[in-house]
Amino acid sequence: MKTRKHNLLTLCTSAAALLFSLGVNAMVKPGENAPDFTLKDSAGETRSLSDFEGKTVILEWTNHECPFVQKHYGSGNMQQLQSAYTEDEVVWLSVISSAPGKQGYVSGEEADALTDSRNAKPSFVLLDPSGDTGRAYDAKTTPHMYIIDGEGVLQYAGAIDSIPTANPADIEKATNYVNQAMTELASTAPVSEPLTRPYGCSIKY
Amino acid sequence: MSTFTHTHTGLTARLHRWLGIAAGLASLCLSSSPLAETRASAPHIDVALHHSQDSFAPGTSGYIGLQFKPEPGWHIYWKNPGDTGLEPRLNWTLAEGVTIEDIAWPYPERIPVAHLTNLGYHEEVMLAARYHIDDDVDAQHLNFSVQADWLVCEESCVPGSAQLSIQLPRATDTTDLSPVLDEPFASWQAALPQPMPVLAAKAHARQGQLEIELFAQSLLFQQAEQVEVFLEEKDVVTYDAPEFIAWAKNRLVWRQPLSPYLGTLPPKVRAVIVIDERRAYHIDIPVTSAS
Repeated sequence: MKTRKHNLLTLCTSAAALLFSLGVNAMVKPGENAPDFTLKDSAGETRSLSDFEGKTVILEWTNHECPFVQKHYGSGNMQQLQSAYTEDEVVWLSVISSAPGKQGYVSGEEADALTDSRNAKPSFVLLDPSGDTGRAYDAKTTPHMYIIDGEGVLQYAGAIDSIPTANPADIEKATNYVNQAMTELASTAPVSEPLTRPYGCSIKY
Repeated sequence: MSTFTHTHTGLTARLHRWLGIAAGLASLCLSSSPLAETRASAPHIDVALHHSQDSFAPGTSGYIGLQFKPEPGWHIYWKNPGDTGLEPRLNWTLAEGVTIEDIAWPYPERIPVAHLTNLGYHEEVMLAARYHIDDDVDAQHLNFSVQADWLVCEESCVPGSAQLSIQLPRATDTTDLSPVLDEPFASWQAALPQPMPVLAAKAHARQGQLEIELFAQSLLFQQAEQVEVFLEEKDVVTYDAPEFIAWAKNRLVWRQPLSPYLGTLPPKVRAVIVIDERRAYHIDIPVTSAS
């Protein structure tokens, strides 16, 4: 066997195996407890996941400059989901994990201005410029959606819907995975698709 | 009144004369044009529709393809885009009597972007397919249209689309039809993975990984400096984790973590194996899992 590459890669694989066993970069999966986090919201107030114990929490990773996010906001799809669920006692948290200077990074004031101009209805917009919370959830794209039940268990992680394009015309043809999971949770049925491949722009950590 | 009639007639005659000249010029242009093509410029990418022939004849085949040229530093995606991204989609609208095969994809390269690994193309690439024309087509012209949608990315991404078409005239003489593939089709064909004859090939899923081991019929890997393996099927393995790969003579072993988005294991996978970033093979491998 060719030894040069083999030895280097065996080393890499062993190191990676060690990292995996330490739980670093392990992806939190549906059925597991959602990691707690503490972040500042757009008004400068501190918010933690544990503040919302007993309530269903929806996390929406976002970047207003991403064409896939624009697909869902430009069409009103995201705002409609936010309204419907926040009116139903669900906590909707929009999370921005873009690093300073990168696409999508905004200050608290800019985030509020975006919420106003787009008529968005999250409960809070959380700023995660260090990317620690994004990484804790292994958030990959914008949008990337997570649903956490009242007991703090992750019930859904993945794409917002089933058609991974930037074309708003595809929204009505797609299965909305957030609606699907929330409907199943409400009827205490098991979530049929708890983990889907998210689509969108990569998060600009 | 009579003046008007006189002018009207004069205009018609002149119009006919100019039309005749224009038609003559147009037919000159058509017959002397190079391989028929139409183009579009979009943000960070140019696209061009190419045809391998100048004309068509019933009962024959040709090739049609869309060439993508991303701006330096930008890329588009392979049929399996990797961890994120979106493969380009081509929707053909063809005349009656024309059928088209699936697009054949040149072999991709690995494209690491921040914390993810995608599969795609930085360089100019053509996605082309072979089409067939029925024996009984009697049209004098055939229209070939494509609606193309793509995602072109650097670190950020821009979706794009274009609608392009070519009209081909009927060949007056079937010897007009070139049996040889010129550029850009020659480069396209050279970049397509070729079937790899093997003595044995198997894929086994175990402990969260997919392992492929194969023995080629010839000493394909003997001089290879670099070997890469990509699966055509999406979401079977993840490409952002370290892989294990080793090769010698005719044997290749490869291991990659299974994708978290894998539902059920497919019964087989089609692996594309790229050697020295220069030549590529494909092989269908049955998949088994640890019981």
